[in-house]
Amino acid sequence: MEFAADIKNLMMPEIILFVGALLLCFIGILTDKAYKRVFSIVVLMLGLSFLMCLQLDTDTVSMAFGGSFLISKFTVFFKELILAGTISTIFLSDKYIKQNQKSVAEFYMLLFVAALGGMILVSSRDFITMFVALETLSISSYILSGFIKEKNSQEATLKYLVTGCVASAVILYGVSLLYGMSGSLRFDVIFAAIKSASMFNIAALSGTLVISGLCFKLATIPFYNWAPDVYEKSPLAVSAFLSTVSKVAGFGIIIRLVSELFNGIWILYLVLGLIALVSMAIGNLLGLCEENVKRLMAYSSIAHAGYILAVLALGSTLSLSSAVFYIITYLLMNFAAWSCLEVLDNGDGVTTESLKGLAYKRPVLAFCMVSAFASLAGLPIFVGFFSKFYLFQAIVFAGFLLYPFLCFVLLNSLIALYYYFKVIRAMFDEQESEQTVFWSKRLAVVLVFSTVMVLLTGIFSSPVITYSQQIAQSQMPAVIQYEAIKGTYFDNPRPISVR
Amino acid sequence: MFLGGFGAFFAFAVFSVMFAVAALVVSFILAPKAPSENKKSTYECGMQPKGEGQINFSVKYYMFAILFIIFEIEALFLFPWAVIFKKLGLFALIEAFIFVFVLLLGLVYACQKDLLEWRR
Amino acid sequence: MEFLNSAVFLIFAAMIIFSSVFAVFAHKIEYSVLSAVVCFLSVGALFLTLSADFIGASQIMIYGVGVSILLAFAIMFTGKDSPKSLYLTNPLRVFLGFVLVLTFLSVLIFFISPVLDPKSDGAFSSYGSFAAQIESIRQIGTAKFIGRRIFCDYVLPFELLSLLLLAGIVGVGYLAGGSKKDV
Repeated sequence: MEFAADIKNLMMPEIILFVGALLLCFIGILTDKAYKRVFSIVVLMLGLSFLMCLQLDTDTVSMAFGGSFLISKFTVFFKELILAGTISTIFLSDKYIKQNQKSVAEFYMLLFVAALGGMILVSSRDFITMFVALETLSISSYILSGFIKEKNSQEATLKYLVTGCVASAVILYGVSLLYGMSGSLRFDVIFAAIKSASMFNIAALSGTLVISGLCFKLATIPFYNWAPDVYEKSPLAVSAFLSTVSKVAGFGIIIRLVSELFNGIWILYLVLGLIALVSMAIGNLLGLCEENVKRLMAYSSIAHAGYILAVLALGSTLSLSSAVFYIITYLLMNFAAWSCLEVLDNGDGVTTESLKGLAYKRPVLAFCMVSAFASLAGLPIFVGFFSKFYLFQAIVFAGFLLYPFLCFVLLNSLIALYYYFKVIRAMFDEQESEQTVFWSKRLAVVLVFSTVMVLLTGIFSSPVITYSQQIAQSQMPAVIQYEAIKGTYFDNPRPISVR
Repeated sequence: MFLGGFGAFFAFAVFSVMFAVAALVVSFILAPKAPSENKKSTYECGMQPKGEGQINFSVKYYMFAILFIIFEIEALFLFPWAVIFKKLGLFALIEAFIFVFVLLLGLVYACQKDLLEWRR
Repeated sequence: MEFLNSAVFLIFAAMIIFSSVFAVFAHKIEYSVLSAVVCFLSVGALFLTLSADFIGASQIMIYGVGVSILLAFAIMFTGKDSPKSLYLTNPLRVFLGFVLVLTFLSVLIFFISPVLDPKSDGAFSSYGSFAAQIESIRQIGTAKFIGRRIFCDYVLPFELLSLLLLAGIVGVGYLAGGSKKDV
C-alpha cells in the first residue's frame, strides 16, 4: 500500500501526536483528577515526535498522500520549532496545572491537537489540507484560551473566536477565487496556472486575501485586536503558546505560500510590506502607555511579527534567512520572558508597579527578566541584537530605494526601547513592592534553559545564522522542485484501486 | 438534466407549498368574519396571559445541539464513503474505521463527563 | 428546458440575496434568524439545481437544520435582556459600510474581469469541448466524486477532521458543561 509506506517513512511525528491526543482523551475519560504520570507521558510523546522529526531524510524533497503533504528541510525545521515550543509550553504550564488540578488531560490533549494542526499546516501542499490544519490549530487555541472560567477570560475568548471566524472567511474567499480560476486546490497546479494564463490580477487579489487572513495567526493587522485581551486573560502558558508556536506555524505557511505559490507577484510583496509597517507602528505605539506586562508582551509580539514580515516582503534568500534567524531567536526570547512572568504572576497579572525593587530582592530572577527584555529590545550581547542587526543588513542589501523603509523600522525599534526599558527600570526602583513568586522544578527548567540559550546564542550566533541560511537556501528554489508533478486533479484523477 | 436531476423533487415541493397556501387563501376568502374583543384574545377562556411570550431556555440544551451537529457532520462524511464503498477497497475501510473510532471516543467522553445527562 | 433551469436558479439566487440582506437589516433578531435560515435552505436548493446532490444535502442538513437550531437556541438563551432593536442607527457607519462594500466590489470587478473574457482559457479548458467541460463540472458535487476525493486524495485532512471534531467535543465539554460539583 502506497499510503502505508508514506505514513511509515514520512509521517511518524504527526502519527505520534495523533495517537498521543487520543491517548490523552482516553485518560480524560478514565479520570477527572490530575493523573500523576500524565506529564511524563506527554513529554515522552513530544520528545519521541521531535526525534522522529530529526531522523527524517530532508536532503531530498518528498511528498506523502498523493502530494498533499510536503517534507522538505524547511517544513521539517518548522515542525521541530513547533514541537520544541510545545514542549516548553508543557513545562511552562506546570503552575497552572498545579493550581487547577482539573481537566489536566484535556489541557494537554488540546495542546497536542494544536501542535498537530500547526505541523500539518506548515507542510500542507493543497488548500484543503491547509485549511483543515489551520482550523485544527485555531479551534483548539480558542478552547485553550478560554480555559479559565471567568467572565473576562470568556469575553477575550469570544473576541478571539469571532476575529478568527472572520479571518477564516477571508481566507476561504481568496481560495475560492483561486479554485474558480485554476480548477484545482493544489499549490503546484495553481502556480502553473498563474504562470501560464493571465491570472496575475486574480492571484494578487486572492493572495492578498489569503495572506491577510493568515495574519490572524500572527496577530498583525488586519486581525491584531484580539491579542492583548487574550494574552492577558488566558492561562499564561496558553499565551506563551499563542505568541510563539501558533505564530511560528503562521510564518511557516506564509513563507511557503509566498515562495511557492505566489512567487513573482510583486503586488503581494507590497501588501506584505504594508502590513509589516502598519503593524509594527501600531504594536509599538500602543505598547508605549501600557502598564500590564502581559498586554505589553502582546503589543511587543505584534511589533515583532511586523519586523519579520518586513524582511519577508523583500523576497530574497538573504532576507528569508534573516527572517528564519529572527523566528528562532524570537522563540527563545519569548519563552524566557513568559517563564519569568509565570514565576511572578500571582493571579492578578504582572504590572510595572508590582515589579518594583525586584532586582534587590531576587537578583537571579531579575537577571533573567532583564536579559529577556533587553533581548526583545535588541540590545547588544543579547541575541535580540543580532537578529535585529541581521534584519537591518537584509534591508540594506536590498538596495538604497528601501532606505526610508529601513529608517521606519529603525525608528520603530527605538520607540520599542522605551517600553522595554520601562519594565527594566521598574525592577531597579528603590521603592519595593510585595512579590510572591512561584517556583517549581519544571518551571525552572524552561526558565534556565531559555535564558541560557538567549545568552549563548547572543555570544555564539554564527552557527545559528549558518543554519538558518541553509534553511533559507533550501526553501528558495522550491518552485523548481515543483515542476516534477504536473497535471490537475481533473484530467488526471488518481486511479481507484479496484478489488 | 432538468434541474440537476431534482426536477420532480422541486415540482413536488412547489406543489405542496401551493397546496398549503391555496387552502389558507381559500378559507380566508370564504370564511365569514365576525371579530369581537373576546375572540381576539389569546385564549377565549381561562387566565389572561401575562408578560411576553418569549422565555429563556436553559443553556443545557446547547450541549445537545452542539453534539448533534458534531455527530451530524460525522454521518455526513460517512455517506460518500458508503456510496462508493465497494470500489474503494480495504484502505478506505480502515480510514473510515479510524474516523468513526475517534468520534466514538468523543461520544464515550461526552457520556463519561455527563454531557448527555439531563441536569436541572 | 434550459430556460426553466435558469429561471429556477435565478429565483433561488434572488431568494438568497433578499433573505441575507433582510437578515442584516431586520429590526428584530428573530426575523434575522428566520431569514438566515431561509438563506441557508435556498443555498442548499441552489446546489441541488446544479446537480451537486451531496453538497446540497450537506448544506441543508448542517446549516438548514443544525446551525438553525443553534441560532434559535442562542436567541432563547439571551431572550429578554437582548436589545429590542437591532437596526443600524448610526448613519455614518451605514454610509461607511456602503462605501467599503462598493470599493471592494469595484476592486473585485477590476481584478476578475480580465479572466472572464470568453476568449481566455477557462479553468476546465483541458476537457475539450464546452459540453464536455459542463459535464465534468456537473460531476463535482456528487457523492461519488466527493467520496473519491476524500478517500483517495484528501485522506490526511479527513483524518485530521476527526481529531478536530474530537477536540470540539472535549472543548464543549469543558467550556459549556459545568463540573459535577455545580449541580
